[in-house]
Amino acid sequence: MKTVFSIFKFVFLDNLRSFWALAYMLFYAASTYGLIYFTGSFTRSMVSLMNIVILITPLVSTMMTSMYYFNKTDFVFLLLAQPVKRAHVFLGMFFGLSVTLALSVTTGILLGMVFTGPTAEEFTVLSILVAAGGLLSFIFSAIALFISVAAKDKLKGIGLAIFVWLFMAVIYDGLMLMYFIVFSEYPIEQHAIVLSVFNPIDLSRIFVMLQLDVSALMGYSGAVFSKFFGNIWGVLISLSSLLLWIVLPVTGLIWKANRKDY
Amino acid sequence: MLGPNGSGKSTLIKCILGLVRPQGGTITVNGISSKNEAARKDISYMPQVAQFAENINAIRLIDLMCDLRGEHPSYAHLVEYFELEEHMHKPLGQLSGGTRQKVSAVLAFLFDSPIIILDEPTVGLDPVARVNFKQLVLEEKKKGKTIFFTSHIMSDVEEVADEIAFLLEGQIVYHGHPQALLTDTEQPNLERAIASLLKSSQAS
Repeated sequence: MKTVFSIFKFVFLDNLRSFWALAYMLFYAASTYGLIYFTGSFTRSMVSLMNIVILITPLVSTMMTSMYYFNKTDFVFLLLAQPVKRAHVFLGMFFGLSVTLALSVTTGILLGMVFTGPTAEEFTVLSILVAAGGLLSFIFSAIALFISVAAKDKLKGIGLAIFVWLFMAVIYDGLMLMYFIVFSEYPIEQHAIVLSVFNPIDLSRIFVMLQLDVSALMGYSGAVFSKFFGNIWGVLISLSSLLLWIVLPVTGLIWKANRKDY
Repeated sequence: MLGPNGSGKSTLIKCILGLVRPQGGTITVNGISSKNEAARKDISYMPQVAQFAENINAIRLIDLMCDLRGEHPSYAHLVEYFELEEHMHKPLGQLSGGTRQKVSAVLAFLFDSPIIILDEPTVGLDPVARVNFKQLVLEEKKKGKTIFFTSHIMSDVEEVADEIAFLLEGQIVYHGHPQALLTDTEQPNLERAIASLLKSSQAS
């Protein structure tokens, strides 16, 4: 555990002092402030902000994580040449990266929000977005690090990681829609729930939408979710599925790292 | 350990460090299998010219290595020896290749490990640093440490090596004292001796 913390601290500081962590935070601060300030309705600005969070956060987390890993192969090497467990090296690295990413998103949104002077109710809604942004940072950082370690070279690693983002952000919804249209004659409501659990971006959309109270914008799977589970259970199930989306890639990462030749 | 590019020198080092699993056989370091991380406790390793972290200074990098090994030796003498005083507080990304190599050298000699592995250590060092570096290697050797290094620079090899092995496509084609190689191949210096060794093994 001491090893994990030492490596975490190092990677975290390395990232924190880089330009992108600050730029990423300012981007969220500006988006949050701008959307609330220029959009008349608070709920509508939150829906726009949610769309930014669930698209941009996974993309940036994916890119930053795989680029960091592939640019720092020498560093990974040096760490692995020390008397430490491989699992600890990669866990430290994962936390160093994901905590920086999550911190940029969360402080960015909170900073933007502070300038608009939100009411207590608005603050609650924004906190949900902050939570979703933080969770997505951890999820996609875990997925990208797993793919990068599993990949044979830099090109395949970064390419596949971006494809996974594209698949979950865009292609998955299209396939789901096709599925619903083709089988619209059948009772497939449960299928919608199962299918959305397999996509962390959909899950976080549902997770936020259940709080926003705009069922019209929930989409099919969101509506089914809230109908089937009610709000409390919906939140609990989507939240625990999101956490599972962190645990599984990290488990895969450790499994792969232990079997890899460097 | 000598050998042309791609002969397997670095791969051998990776095998010893447990970073690559050998396809056959086992490697033990002082009785511990290289698959076990405890084997690396006895090894200090200096990689080839490397970039570790851009925004962090050398002090923090050294601290990290100390934390990972659970030893905190003083290193002021090494910093002074390699004339790194003014570079220790700069982010590593701003240092030149040679200076970074000196930081790696500090890492390699920092811990009192019985085995030191150096992968092309003198590449990128200026002549003064190179002389200093070789001096340090000789001093550590006198303490009874095992120093394993790869190199393409024959003058360095002649100065510090007690034993050389020549690796070609993963096979050791020569192993022995450098002086013996000169007599065997009837060549005036090590560079020519290696060249003739390479030629004769390609011919056969």
